[in-house]
Amino acid sequence: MDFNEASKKSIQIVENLKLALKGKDEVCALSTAALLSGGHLLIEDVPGVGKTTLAHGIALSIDASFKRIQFTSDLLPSDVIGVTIYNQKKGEFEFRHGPIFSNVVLADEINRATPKTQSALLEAMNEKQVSVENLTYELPSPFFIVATQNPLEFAGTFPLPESQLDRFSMRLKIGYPTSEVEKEILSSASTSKASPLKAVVSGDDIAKMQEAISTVHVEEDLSNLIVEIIEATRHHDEISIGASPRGSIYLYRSAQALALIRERDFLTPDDILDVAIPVLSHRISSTLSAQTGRGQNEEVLRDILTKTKIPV
Amino acid sequence: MSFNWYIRTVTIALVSVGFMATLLIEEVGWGFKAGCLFATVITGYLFVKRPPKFSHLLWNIIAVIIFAVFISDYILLSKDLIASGSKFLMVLVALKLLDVNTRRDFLLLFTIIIFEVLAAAASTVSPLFFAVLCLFIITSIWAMMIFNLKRDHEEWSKQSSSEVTLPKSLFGAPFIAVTGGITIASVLITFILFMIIPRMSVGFFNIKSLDTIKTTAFSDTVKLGELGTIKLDPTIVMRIELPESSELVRKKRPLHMKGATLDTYDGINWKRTLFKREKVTRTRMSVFEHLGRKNRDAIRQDIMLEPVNSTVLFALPDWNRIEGGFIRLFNDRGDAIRVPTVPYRKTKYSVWSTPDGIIEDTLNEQDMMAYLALPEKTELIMALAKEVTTNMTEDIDKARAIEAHLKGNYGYSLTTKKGEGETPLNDFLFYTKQGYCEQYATAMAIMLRTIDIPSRLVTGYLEGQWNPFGDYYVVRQQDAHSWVEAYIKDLGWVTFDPTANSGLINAFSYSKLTMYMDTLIWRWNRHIINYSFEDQVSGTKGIESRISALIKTIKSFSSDIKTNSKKRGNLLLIVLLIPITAVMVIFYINRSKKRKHPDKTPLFYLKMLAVIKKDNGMERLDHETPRAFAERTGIMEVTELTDIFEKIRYGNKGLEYKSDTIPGLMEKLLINKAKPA
Repeated sequence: MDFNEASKKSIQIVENLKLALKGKDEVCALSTAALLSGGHLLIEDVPGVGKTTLAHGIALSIDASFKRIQFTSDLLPSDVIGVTIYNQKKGEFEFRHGPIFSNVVLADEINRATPKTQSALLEAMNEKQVSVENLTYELPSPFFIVATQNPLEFAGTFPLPESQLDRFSMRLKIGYPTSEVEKEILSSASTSKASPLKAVVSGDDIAKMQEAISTVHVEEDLSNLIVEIIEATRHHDEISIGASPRGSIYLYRSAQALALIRERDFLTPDDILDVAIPVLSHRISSTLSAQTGRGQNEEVLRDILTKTKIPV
Repeated sequence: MSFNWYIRTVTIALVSVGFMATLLIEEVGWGFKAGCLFATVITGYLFVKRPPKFSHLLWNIIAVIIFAVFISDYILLSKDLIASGSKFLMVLVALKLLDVNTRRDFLLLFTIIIFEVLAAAASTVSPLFFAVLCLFIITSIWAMMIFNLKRDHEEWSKQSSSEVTLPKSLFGAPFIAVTGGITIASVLITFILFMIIPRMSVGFFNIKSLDTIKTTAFSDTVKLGELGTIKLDPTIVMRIELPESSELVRKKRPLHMKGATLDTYDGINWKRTLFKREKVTRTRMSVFEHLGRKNRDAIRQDIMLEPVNSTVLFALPDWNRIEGGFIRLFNDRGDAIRVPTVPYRKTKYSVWSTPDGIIEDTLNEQDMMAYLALPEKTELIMALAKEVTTNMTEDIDKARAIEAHLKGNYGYSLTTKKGEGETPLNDFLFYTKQGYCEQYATAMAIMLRTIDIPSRLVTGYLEGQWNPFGDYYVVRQQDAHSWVEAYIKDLGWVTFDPTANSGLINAFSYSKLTMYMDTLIWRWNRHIINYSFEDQVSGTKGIESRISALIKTIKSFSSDIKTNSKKRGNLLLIVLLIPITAVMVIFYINRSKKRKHPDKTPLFYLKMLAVIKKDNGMERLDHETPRAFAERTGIMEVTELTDIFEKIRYGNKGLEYKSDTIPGLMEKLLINKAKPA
């Protein structure tokens, strides 16, 4: 798939998402970028702002297998991955594929599950494979997890471990809609149910688009800019743990994906700055976050970005 | 702006600088200068307006005619190459402006202007010349840049005949600052390097001065009459500065720069027979002192001696201290300073002498014998001496009487005739009664000896000519002289010069120009070629002593502060000023750092930023992306230019990527004064 075709398809996805999530163009573009960067997406916000709607929208936009797992505190790893059962007819043990064996998996309210179940996702998210009882099962390609979660201060949640958070390409916040958009939402909600989305790309397309973003040209100074930002998170006074190399890879790939969505075959500093906060905010540990809440990470990152010189 | 506009501008600038240089030429009258200015302004105006069609042949003919006029002016009227040459050049520039079309014409004009600057360099002493020279260097750098750009451009676009427009700001403040800065910095660096780089004792420059001035007048044997032949030789032998002396000392002429002394006269030749010499004590590096003599009221002489074929160092008599880059020095029995070997290069040294002081040297028996030895056939001479000194008891009076007798009764002549006397000396004293310094001196020395006063012949130089441009004496071969030293009890060796006054006056006079040129040569030799390790050391010492003086003042100042409230206020002011200056310097450095940009940034974008800053007062912040800045300005052209900029800067197009829309957009931006849409 050449660049122009990939770019067109990516725009179709974004347009499709905009139908589901009104007034949140940037979020739609960013979540598409997350999809194309080859990582996974974590949507974090208070209940009712459209997390599941967005996740569902992404899933529906792709003509591929889709499973939704509602995470609860009593969900077991086998409920996600699958179980081995004894087939009496054949007289042997047989693996029953769990819901994770799909192209798109919606992990709803992921932080409601116990750490045990959450960590069952670990291997799947990074290696795109699942190991059960000495046997390894390949996951289908493309494989994309969209997880949603409520912010930590809500009761009955288990915070995701850092290792797992790091495996998400982006953590997005949706935020409340503007009053105009809210009115629009009300009117459409009263008249009819949200029109079901149509799939605009196939699973194969997604895999090809993921390859196509590699063709986006990144000027040397801009790679340096990425490194500079990552380095800054590691040396900032208010950050105890900085971003990992995986973070810089995702920053690079996500920025390329955003450039593709913006129909540009080269990166600009804007692409990097626009993805920096969603890509990095869940990868760093602010020294103050324990006291003042998670919003602190974004603040620190914004501070870093205003201190970074843009190469012109 | 087109190339032609720039070429015209730079040409006018060069012509102006050339004219400024000619203003400094003293040989050309102000009337002529004014006339030429008028003519140049008119032709310059024609040149700027539109180059008029002017036949090349006609120009050549006129140039030849002017050249002929110049030649005849030089031969018949002014006889001064600089005067008529610079007039010729000035007229030529005014005329050439009418015929500047091709590259060669510019080159010719450029060459004429170089010659104008050279003529000014040869003529003027004014420090303004340095400014003109700097201007000339800067403008010629511009000219070369413009011509190179033009040539490159022509080669690059041989097919397209369209003229390229250049930004008007090519000659803006940064351009001028950079070229001017580079010029001044390179001059300064050259100067500093020159002062700092360690000296080798023999450099390239010295090869030329390996030739020594041939003279036998200072060897150990001098034939009577030898000095006469060099009395017409204008070769410069040395230059003398009297740096610590008042006008009074300088006026007390003649100065007798003593060279060798000769003790024995055999009737024809003077010889040196007392060869014993003493090593002069070196008290410090390059400082030699005669420890037996007092250094009070000494006259300091700074001497730059050309290589003379002799080991003698010239100085006023009765020296007591010498400074110079010597390893060893000797003092011979005749109290002449000698170096171990004949120097083959210019020698620079300083001597302190007290010629009027009383220096008691004791003579041993051997010396006494030599200084009283008489040649044959001196009976007549003795009679004359006794006659002159009748009724006198003191040696000093006798000697003065003999000096006065010779001075008063004998004529000065460079050509000596053979008389009827038995010896050359008798010829002079009793028959021809005409001679030159050597004969006078010999006569006096022998007359003194006949009446038992020890005496010796001294050869050396008179002070020569005063050069008011450089404040020094120029001593030439023709200033060679000989005189007498007599040993007077209680006074030591006393100098007598019996030569008639007419013999002391120089036969030649030199023009001011010659003197000025000599000043230049001397300065070059003194400060550049002979800039030695000693000078470096003394320069460093000077800095050191100034620093220690400064520290002293600071110390005394700080002790004053405790008592004086006004000074305390001053100190407070200084203490406040220092950090403010430091902050300003840091701020400036940061600013200039900010301005630095890698070559990756396309020029038009920088220019766009400058325009917006100037017109709208908006500046891109360091952390602001170009896109964000474009949106902040809200100017459509800026957004469009940013699109192109991003393609060039961040895309893989590179700097070669050309967009036809850039000039148009820039023009719009300038016309609309960058008003937000």
